[in-house]
Amino acid sequence: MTTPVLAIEHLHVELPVRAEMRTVLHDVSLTIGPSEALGLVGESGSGKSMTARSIMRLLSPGASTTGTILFEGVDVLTMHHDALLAFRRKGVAMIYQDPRAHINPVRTIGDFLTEGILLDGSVSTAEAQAKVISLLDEVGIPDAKRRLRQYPHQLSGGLLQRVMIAAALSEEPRLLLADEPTTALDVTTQEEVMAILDQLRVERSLAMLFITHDLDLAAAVSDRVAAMYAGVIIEVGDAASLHTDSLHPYTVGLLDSRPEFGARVRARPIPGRPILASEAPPGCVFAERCPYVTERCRSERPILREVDGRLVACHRAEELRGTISFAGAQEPR
Amino acid sequence: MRQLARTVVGALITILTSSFIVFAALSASPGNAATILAGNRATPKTIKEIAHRYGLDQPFLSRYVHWLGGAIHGNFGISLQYRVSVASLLKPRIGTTFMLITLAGIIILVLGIGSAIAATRFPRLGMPVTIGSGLFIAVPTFVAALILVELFALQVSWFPVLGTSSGSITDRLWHLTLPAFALALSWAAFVAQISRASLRGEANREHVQTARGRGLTESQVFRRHVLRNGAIPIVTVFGLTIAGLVAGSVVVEQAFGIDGIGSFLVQSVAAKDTNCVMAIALILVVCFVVVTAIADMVYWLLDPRVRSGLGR
Repeated sequence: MTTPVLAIEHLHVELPVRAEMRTVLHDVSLTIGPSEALGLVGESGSGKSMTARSIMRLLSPGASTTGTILFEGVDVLTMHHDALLAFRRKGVAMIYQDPRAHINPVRTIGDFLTEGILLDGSVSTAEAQAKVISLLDEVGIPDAKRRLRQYPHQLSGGLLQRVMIAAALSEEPRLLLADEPTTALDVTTQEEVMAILDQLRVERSLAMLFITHDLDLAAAVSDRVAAMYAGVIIEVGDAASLHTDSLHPYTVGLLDSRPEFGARVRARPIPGRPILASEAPPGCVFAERCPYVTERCRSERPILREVDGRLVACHRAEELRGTISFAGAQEPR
Repeated sequence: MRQLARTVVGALITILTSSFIVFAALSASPGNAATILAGNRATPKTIKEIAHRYGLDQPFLSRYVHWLGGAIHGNFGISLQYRVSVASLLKPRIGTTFMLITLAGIIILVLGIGSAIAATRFPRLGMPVTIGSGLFIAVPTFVAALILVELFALQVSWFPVLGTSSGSITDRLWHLTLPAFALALSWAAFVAQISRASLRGEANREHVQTARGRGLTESQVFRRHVLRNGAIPIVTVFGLTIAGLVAGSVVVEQAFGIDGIGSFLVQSVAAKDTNCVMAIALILVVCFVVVTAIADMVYWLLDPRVRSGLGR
């Protein structure tokens, strides 16, 4: 068996909030194989971005992390200074949600793009520029030479996100972390940017963790999809089956709550409000909002287990399969 | 280029306006220049003659134009107190004050911005810098002057207590060291606090996280992404600080008995020497405007968003 590019095992993260440690991720385990794309879906606050930031070791100082994050077999969490820098330079690259905030506004686009390549000191400025110009061509930015001299505020959000993608690829990473790369863009450019990212990733057979709240989008660009709720992974399966035959009530609820274009049926939101990982009850994290909740669900937290080639964290997965519906669910008092 | 022209024109308009205000205010002040010039035993006739000779009987506006015309050529008339040209009195004193302010400016730059950088790079230094700057910001210049003289001139006699030297440059610097520190301390503390806030705000920005995530070392992150961005507001504050030093030098020169522009201003006011007061006031205004204009230009060079005429 080949070593996975990324293997997260039992990751537990707590962050200090007003002198108190709050859980943000609980017992998260994920693997991404070579050239595989894993979608990570969930509502805001479910811990998707925290997972990505944990992989990069970019959590705020004071965070407490246990478990392991193996990148090509080496634990990122115990890496020393130089190894961590090398991992961030050559191993992994991240595409952030808001390019306008994540690119230094007072430095030129050229400066931002070549910064990563020039870090080694083995490449000349001219070579680095030639490389990023061809990358800008690839992400569909014409007139690349002129763009290098421009500043971020002179580019539209869509162009800036392409610049971010080019910057991520410039370091030739083995793993790409895309944190809601199209959420901050307007709808018309979302599709273009997503198509470019998908195409370039496949061409380079890069492994990717694709974070989104959009289950359809995740299914479209990923091989497998993991669903997250309140800092816990509740279901992992291949993209096609998770989309059509979800096992966990929450995933079904997510699918039901999508607004469908032109559909007569109104989207059904899941009753109740999403909880934070720090508010999670001792039992199943979804118990409060689940119409199929039992005594056992409230007292015992279900672990992620295999059902039919997929992973699901639900006590009643087999019994409920194919029957889950939120149609009759009431808003809890 | 257009920005440069705009700054220069703005500066000129400011100088012109303030020159008018200075002239008008001092013309309206009590005391008659001709009476002072004529001396104690003058007859009304001699006073009239003197007023005529110096153009003091002319209408207000033409006196202003005459004065401004002279000022542009460095001719500020004659001192009512010393009966020699104002320019010849100011020339040696300007050098001394300029040196004092430059020295204070360097101290502020090194202590103020230096400690802010240190506190941002090494969080452990944050507390001492906060306490130290909080303490010094509250010490008025004349108190700082007294304490510094007590400690470094009287107790350990590293520096002279009073006066200036006309000797070598090192000797002059030696005489100006304590005054410069007295002038600089509270401003340095102020600049330290502003710079620290600016750098800390910048260090928490998302793009800094991007840089860190790309594998830049902490010092590269700081140099390339925190310092440059954080410097933008610091430049503005530093410009205002230097301008404030020009005014602050009045107090320090008095306290240390330095014969510079500031102490001469106080002396001239006491002697009702309006010509000297006007000249010094105008020079201070020009210094202030020039420094602010330079700060504006640097700001413009540092921030590309300002350059393309866009707000944030």
